[in-house]
Amino acid sequence: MTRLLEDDALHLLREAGIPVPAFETVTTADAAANAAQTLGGRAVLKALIPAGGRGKAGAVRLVESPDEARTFAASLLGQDILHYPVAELLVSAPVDIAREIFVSFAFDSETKKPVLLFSAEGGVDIETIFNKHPASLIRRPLSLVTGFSITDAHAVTEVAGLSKKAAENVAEALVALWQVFTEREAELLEVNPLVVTPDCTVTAPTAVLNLDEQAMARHADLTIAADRIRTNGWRPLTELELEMREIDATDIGSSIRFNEFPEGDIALMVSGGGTGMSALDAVYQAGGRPACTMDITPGQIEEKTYLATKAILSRPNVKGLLAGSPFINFIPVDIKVRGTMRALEELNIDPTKFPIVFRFDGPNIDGAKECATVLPGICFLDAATPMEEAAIEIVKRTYRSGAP
Amino acid sequence: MSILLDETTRILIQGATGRQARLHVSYMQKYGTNVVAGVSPGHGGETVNDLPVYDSVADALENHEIDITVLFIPGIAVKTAAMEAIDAGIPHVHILAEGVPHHDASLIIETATAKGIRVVGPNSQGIISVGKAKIGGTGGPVPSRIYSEGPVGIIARSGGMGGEIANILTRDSIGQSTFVPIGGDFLVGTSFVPLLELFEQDPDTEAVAIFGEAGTGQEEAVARMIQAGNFTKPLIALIVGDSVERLPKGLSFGHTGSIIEHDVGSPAQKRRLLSDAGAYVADTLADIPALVRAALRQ
Repeated sequence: MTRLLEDDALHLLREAGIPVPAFETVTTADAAANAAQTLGGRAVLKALIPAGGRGKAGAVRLVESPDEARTFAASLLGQDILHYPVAELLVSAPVDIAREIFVSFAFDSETKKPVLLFSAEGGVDIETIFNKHPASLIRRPLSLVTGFSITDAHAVTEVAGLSKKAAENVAEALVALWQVFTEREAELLEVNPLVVTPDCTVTAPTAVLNLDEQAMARHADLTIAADRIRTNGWRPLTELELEMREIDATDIGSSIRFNEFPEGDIALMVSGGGTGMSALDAVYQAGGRPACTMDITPGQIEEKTYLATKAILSRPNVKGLLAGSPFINFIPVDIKVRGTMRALEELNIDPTKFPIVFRFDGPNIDGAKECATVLPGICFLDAATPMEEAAIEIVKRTYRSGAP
Repeated sequence: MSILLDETTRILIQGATGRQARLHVSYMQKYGTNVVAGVSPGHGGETVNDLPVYDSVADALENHEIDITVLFIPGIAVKTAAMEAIDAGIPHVHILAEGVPHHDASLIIETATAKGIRVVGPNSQGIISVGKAKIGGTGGPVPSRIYSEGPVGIIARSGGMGGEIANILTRDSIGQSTFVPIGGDFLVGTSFVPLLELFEQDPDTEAVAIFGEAGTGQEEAVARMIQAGNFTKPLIALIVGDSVERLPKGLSFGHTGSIIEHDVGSPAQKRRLLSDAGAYVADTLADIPALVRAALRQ
C-alpha cells in the first residue's frame, strides 16, 4: 500500500474534473508566506506528510496573513509530526463551508467488493461519525462489473438530507471519485471533508489515495509520486529498511518483505507469511524483543539472503538470529542456509557467543545441517520441532547472559 | 473420499509452457493427478509434459472436459486468464499467483460468483487430496514427506502453515484427507465456510483443522457456522497474529478499513468466538495432534 502525498492526490482529483482549491507545495517559510500572499493573504497550511490525524497533531492551521503563514511554517518545518519529519507544506486557498461530507471507496474482505462509505456528518474522523452519528453512515457495496453510475450516486445523496442542487453536485463528485478509484486501481480513496459551499458547489480540499503496489506496473505515470513516499505505513523507512529495498532490487527472481523494530535485539528471518507471524507471536510471547522480520519469496535467494543477513547482523542492536521456513518442497534446504553461512563467516560471528537458531526441513536437509557445522554452536532444528519452539529457543539463548 | 479433488478430477493448466508450470505439472502427474491439457497462447499444437497444448481455453474445451483449471500465471496477468476460464464456464478456477491487484481479484470473484463458478485463491498454494491427486505446488515432488492418508481435513490461510499442520499430524500417525490452502490475500475467492460445507458432507473426513490469522472476518464466520449447526464435525483451530495488535493501528488497513472491517479481525476474539462455538482452539501448533486425538475419540 502506497499512500500518496496530499498534493499528488489532489492533482489526480483535479485531472478527473473534481474541483479542488488552489494550492502550492512549499519547502521554506518564505515560500509559504509568498504562497499565502498569492492566495490573497488567508490560507490553509498543512504539514505534507503521509499520515492521518494532522489536525489533532497541530499540523494544520488557517492563517490570516502571509506573516502568520511564515511564522507557522517556520514552526512546522523540520519538526517531527506523527513520526514524520516535516520537509514540505501544502498551502491552499480556504474554502467556505456549508456542509462537510465524508466519502471513501475501499475494499471489503467479506463481500470481496469495493464499498462506498458516505456520511453527511463529515469533517470529523470516521470513528467519530461511526460512534456519534451512526445513522448518517451509508455503506454501499459496489460492483466492478456494473460500475457506479450517476443514478447510483443519486440514490446515495438523496437520502443524505442535502438540498437538491447540493445533492446533484455531490452525486457528480461521487461518480468522478469512483472513476479515480477504479482508473488508478486504488486500494483506498477518501475525501473528508468533501465540502459543500454556501452556494451549493462542491470542492475537495483534501484527499487520501492509497495505491496498490501490485498494480503499479500498469501505472508508470504514478511512479514518481509513489517514490516520494518512503514509509512503512506509519513512520518513515529506517536506514536498514532502505538498504533492504536496494538489496531486494538486485534481483527480481524473488522478493523481500522486511520490517525493522530498531528497539529490538532478535533478528527474525523466517520465510512464509503465516510461519513468520507464528514466529513473531512466539518471540513476543516468550518475552523476546524482535529486531526485524524478513520474508523472502522463493527464487534466486542465496545471494539476496547473504546480503540481507550481512546488513541485519551489522546492526549493533542485534544480539541473536532465528532463520527458518515452513517445510520446504522445492529447493534444497542447503540453498536457504548457504547465503546466511557466508554472511556469518564474513562477519566473523562466533555462534557460541552470538546465538543462532536455524529451523529448516525439506530436500537435502542433511546437506544443510552439514553446511551449518562449519561454525560450531549453531542450534539447527528440523521439522521435528515446530517454529514456535525454535522461537522460544532463540529467546532463551539470546537472554541467557542477562534478563531482557 | 476427499473434497474438490481426486484422481478422476480433470485438470487444465493455463500457462502450461512456463518453466514453473512444467516442473509442478510433472510432480502432479507423478502423484496421480488427472491432468488432461494445457493452454498457452501462441503454443497451440505443442506438447508439454505429454499434454496437448491449446492457444485458448475455448480450444481446449472443444477437445476435453475440464473440472478445474490451474493458473500458472503471474499476478499482474491473472485477470485475463481467469476471465477467459470463467467465460468458458470451467467450474473451478484455481489461482496460485501472489500479487494479484485488488481490483482484478474483486472483478474475477464477482464475475465467477455470478456464474456459480468457484475461485480458489489468489495466492493459494494448490490442493492435495492425500494419496489421490494434487494441484499447484502443494506437497512438492515428494508429498509423502509430510502428508499421509487419514481422516483430518485441513484449511489454511497459509500454504506453509497448512503443511506444518500436516507434518505434525503425520509425525503423530494421524493422516489427512484433503488440504486446501485458501490464500493469505485480503480478497480471496473461497473462504473457510464453503469448504467446511464440503468437509461436512465428506464421509472420509472426521475432523477439520484450520489455520487462521489476524484480519478479515473469515474465522468469525466459521464460529457462526458451527453455532448455527451447519458444521457438526470437530473443528480444531490455530489462529496467529497477536503481534499485529502491537503495531500501530492503521498500519495494514487504515481507518476506513477499520470501520469496514468493524469488530472483526483480532486473533484473541477469533479464538474466543470459536471456543464459545465449541471448536477446539490450539494455543500452539504442537497442541494440534492431542486436540485432534481428543476430538476423534469423541
